[in-house]
Amino acid sequence: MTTALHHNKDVVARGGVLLTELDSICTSFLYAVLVTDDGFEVASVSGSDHERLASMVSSLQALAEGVAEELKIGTSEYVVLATEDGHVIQLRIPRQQLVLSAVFNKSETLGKVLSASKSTAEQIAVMVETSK
Amino acid sequence: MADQSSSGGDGAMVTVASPTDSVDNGWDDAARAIYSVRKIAAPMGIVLQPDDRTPYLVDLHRKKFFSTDDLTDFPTHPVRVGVQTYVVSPDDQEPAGPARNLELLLWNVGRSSFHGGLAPWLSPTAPYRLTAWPDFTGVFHTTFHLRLTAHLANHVTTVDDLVELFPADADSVPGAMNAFSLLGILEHLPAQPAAAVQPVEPAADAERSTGGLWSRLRDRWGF
Amino acid sequence: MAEHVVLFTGPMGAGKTAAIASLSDIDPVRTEAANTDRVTADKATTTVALDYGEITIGPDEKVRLYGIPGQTRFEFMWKVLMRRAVGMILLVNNDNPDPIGQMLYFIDYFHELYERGGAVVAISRSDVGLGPTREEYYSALAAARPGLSIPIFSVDARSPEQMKIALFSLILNIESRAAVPSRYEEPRQ
Repeated sequence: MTTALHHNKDVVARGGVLLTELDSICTSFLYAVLVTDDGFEVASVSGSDHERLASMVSSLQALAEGVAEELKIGTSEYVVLATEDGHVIQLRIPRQQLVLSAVFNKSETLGKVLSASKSTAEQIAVMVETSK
Repeated sequence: MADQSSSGGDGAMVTVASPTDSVDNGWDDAARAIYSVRKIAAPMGIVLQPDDRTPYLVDLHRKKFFSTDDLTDFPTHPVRVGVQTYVVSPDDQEPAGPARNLELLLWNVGRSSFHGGLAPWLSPTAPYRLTAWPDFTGVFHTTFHLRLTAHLANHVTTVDDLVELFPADADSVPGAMNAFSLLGILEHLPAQPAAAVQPVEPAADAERSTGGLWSRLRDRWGF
Repeated sequence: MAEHVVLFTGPMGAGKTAAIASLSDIDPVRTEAANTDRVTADKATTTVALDYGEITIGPDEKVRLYGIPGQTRFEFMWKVLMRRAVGMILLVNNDNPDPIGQMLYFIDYFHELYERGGAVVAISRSDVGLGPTREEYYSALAAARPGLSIPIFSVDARSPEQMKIALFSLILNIESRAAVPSRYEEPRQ
């Protein structure tokens, strides 16, 4: 059996670095978490109670993908939760059973932070594929 | 006849069987033996031999019976059932033959004993309630048994009242009560002074919390 | 439209998803993810948000069947799903390391649901010969939480017939509990 990604020290360490880089390029960044599909935290930056957030991310991703499948409109690319004070952006790591969820305030545009998050997700995908 | 009878208000009658009813005792002696062994919590096994059929070895301690008969063709009306008790020790090896869920046998024996009457140790006028439900996913039952169980699990009731409450299935009430008793889930409560409240109508219950969902679901599934 | 929400609760691996599939008229909506916690339950996938199935009673009436994600990490979903429910079928796998403890845990957590409607305990995987007897579940429940009226059955969650009996019993028990006390009982508070 292969090691679950949240137990893979290489993925956990390098995932944390990539999330930190997302923080550094987005001034509106509040916090982010990288989770397995079944809701275990792999890496996180800032914030607190990531365990609870990781489970919520997993549930929300499954619901979003379930709705997309039900409607037969292709696979879910990302989920955006827009609130009065900020955005939650959630997207699947390409080709992986991992989900990135990042929270931003409204000091930057949704387009900017979405673009940055997508780029981070792609980098995480490459990192996992080349991990030990 | 040595039967005792009790009137259930509008004339419904519950018959209490007598041990000297007839030569054809059917499952009566078996039911008595099971009841006695359960009551005294004796470390005893019981061998039941209906007519010339395969015997059932009843082990109340292990809650199993041992027989090659899987009860798919249970003899509900044997002429005679041989009953033998024997002492068992917890250290004894299990008897030979497939071990089966004792609940299934006790349920069948209870419902088939005393010629449709109430077991002599039960009273038509005593208040009872159930402490557990039979394992209905395993034992054969009708919707009446489910309704009776739900009622008796939630309301202290006498057999006479149950006969009134379930008029369409009144004949099946004593057998079900006998079965509950053999299963060890029938609790006899001390007699209490009757209050002004009348027994609950099961049909009226249905209109309360779920708007009678049960009956519509039963129709939907064709039970 | 009249709707009746029944919640399927219990620990991971107890058979909640299978039970809903056994009862539902529609292909159930599942939110399953690859299970990385094979120690708790050795199965390929696990529910992470909810399972959903339904039974159509008539043109304007449905029984909605919701399954919770069994792991306590998803407890926030339990609260969401509990809101509209009128009763629960609590599945406990008998080969769980502490099946009676699990039963009591879920009964306590969803006590509000029991008070509002009712509950049935469905013991799954009792055919494997491990774990307590049904009588031991009843005794433990009576000792730890006296006064509760909860039927306990052994089930194969994959069996539509058996799950129908569990659902039937739940509804009957809800209806019967809601009735006024008989002449032999103290009036309920």
